[in-house]
Amino acid sequence: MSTSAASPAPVPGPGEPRDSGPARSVSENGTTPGGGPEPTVPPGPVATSEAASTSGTGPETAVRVRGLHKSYGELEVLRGIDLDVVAGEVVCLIGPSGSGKSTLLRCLNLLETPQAGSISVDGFTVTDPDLDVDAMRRRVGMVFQQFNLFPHLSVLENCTMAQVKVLKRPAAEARRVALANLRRVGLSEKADQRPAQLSGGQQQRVAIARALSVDPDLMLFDEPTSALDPETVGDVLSIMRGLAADGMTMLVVTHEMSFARDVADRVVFMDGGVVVEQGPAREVIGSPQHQRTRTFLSRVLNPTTGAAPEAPDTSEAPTTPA
Amino acid sequence: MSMTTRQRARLSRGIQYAVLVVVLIALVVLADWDVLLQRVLNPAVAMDQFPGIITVALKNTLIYTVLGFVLGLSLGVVLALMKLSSVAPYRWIATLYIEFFRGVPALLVFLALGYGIPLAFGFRFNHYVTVMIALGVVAAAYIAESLRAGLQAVPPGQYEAARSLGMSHTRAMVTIVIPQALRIVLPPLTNEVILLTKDSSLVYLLGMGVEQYELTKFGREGISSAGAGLTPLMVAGVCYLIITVPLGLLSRHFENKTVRVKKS
Ligand SMILES: Nc1ncnc2c1ncn2[C@@H]1O[C@H](COP(=O)(O)OP(=O)(O)OP(=O)(O)O)[C@@H](O)[C@H]1O
Ligand SMILES: [Mg+2]
Repeated sequence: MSTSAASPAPVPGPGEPRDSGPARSVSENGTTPGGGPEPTVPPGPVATSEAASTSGTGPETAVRVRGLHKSYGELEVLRGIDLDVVAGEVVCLIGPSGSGKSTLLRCLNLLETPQAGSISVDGFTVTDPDLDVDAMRRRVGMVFQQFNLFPHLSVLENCTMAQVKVLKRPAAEARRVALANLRRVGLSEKADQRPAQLSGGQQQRVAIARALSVDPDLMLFDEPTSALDPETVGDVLSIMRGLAADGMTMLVVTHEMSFARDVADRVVFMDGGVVVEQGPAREVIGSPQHQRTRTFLSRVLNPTTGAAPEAPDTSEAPTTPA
Repeated sequence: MSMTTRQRARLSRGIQYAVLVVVLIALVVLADWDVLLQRVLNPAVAMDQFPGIITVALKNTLIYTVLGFVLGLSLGVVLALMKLSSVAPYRWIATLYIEFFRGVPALLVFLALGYGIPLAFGFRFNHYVTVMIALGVVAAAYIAESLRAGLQAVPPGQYEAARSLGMSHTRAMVTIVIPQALRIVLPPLTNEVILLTKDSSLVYLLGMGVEQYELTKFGREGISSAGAGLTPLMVAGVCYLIITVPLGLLSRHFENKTVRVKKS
């Protein structure tokens, strides 16, 4: 089972001839996966360490995606994605609307089922049909654009529910962990309120505390600040900076370029369902190699200059928090 | 001709009040109040309805309503789940059922169960079972639709967030989706109980013993005794209101609550 995922590392097994097209255009770019500041992780050894499921020794692969394809009916949203994230790494996923960023993130914890390719996350072979989905998801926190807090539960209960029901922690311990995480996001005094009584930024911070309360090894963020008022964006981003500083492995879909530049170890630019370019944050954002990346960045970074014909994108302007 | 909007509104209101006053005066002057009271709300006749109207009729109306609701809710849950099933034939069956029983008169269902089946098959259910089925199968169709709408009104992000925390499908449904759906569904369910209370009057059609009379049948028997007038039916009506008005207030209360949750 796990060996099947380990063997076809360089080329995706079930892929059609078309697969290798976009995939090759990625590597030709010179920025191989995992080529960030971290030591480059060759595919082979990683696969074996993953099979042995050792923990805490050397740079582990937290996420490993090969030849990922996803379509909705006729619409091919992901067209052969390869992606690696090393444990402790912060990777920002950027790209225009509709490029498949959310879909990729949702495939990682199986909120969407991919049609082809292999995914392994935190030692779980996600694409294995025999996978214990719930066990995998316990290790992978997810933060949504729309927060998705449970409105019928208090802030504290939002953070304890999964601990008690899924991890079977005693109520007292769950409460202690929840309060610690709420303190971490600066909201322990809101524990007894309902989500509806909080501002958007506060709700998103609770959502982060909720995800942290089940002790994930990896956090997925899908545009966590896109639904927020500009003045609350900074609070959420600084929480995420803190998480990154504490060594959390993070995969963040964002339009906040200043966050990506300052915090991300690596930036991955996606367009049209493929990874166009990736590399260290300063390189990709500072001196992008591809024309598509340049066009996208100029629109996001200078939304007010005449170069941007599309007005709606102005909302994605980086609001430098401090 | 050249009135402002406000002037026209004031005139219209004045006319409405005038009509009201004229009708009231006519009623007071022309109606024979003694006779009216004696025929419609005769205190002596009303007292005669007690204690049977409570100990037999009101009690039986409540029993029939509860029986119908229990079957309606159980069957309604099954139908709602069938309607949301990924297996297409289940959805078809549920749709067919719901459209059928929402489309035919409840009276027809009572006739079928009370007379049709005994005549066709020479077999008769126990009285309470007949009532339960007749009320329940119709209520189930309405309840199923309310439940389905309630479950679908919970945003999919709620289920996804629960699953992302490692909850199983069942756990996510039980702790996250269904509690929220219940809140949405409480007002229509309460209304369904009100409708059932009134529909339980259809039991009138079935042959039954005196101890099985519900409010409508009891009132009907009451007006046939000499000199009773309309009073027995009025008393039965008040008894229905004792059940339905508080339920209506309850439903309104639930509604306001959900609106408040949604708004914030
Ligand atoms: N459930 C679905 N059914 C059909 N099409 C979908 C579904 N989910 C996403 N899509 C389509 O897939 C494409 C990629 O969507 P996705 O949400 O992954 O893009 P994105 O990069 O996250 O964009 P954005 O920046 O707007 O969030 C879009 O064209 C979208 O319409
Ligand atoms: Mg998206």
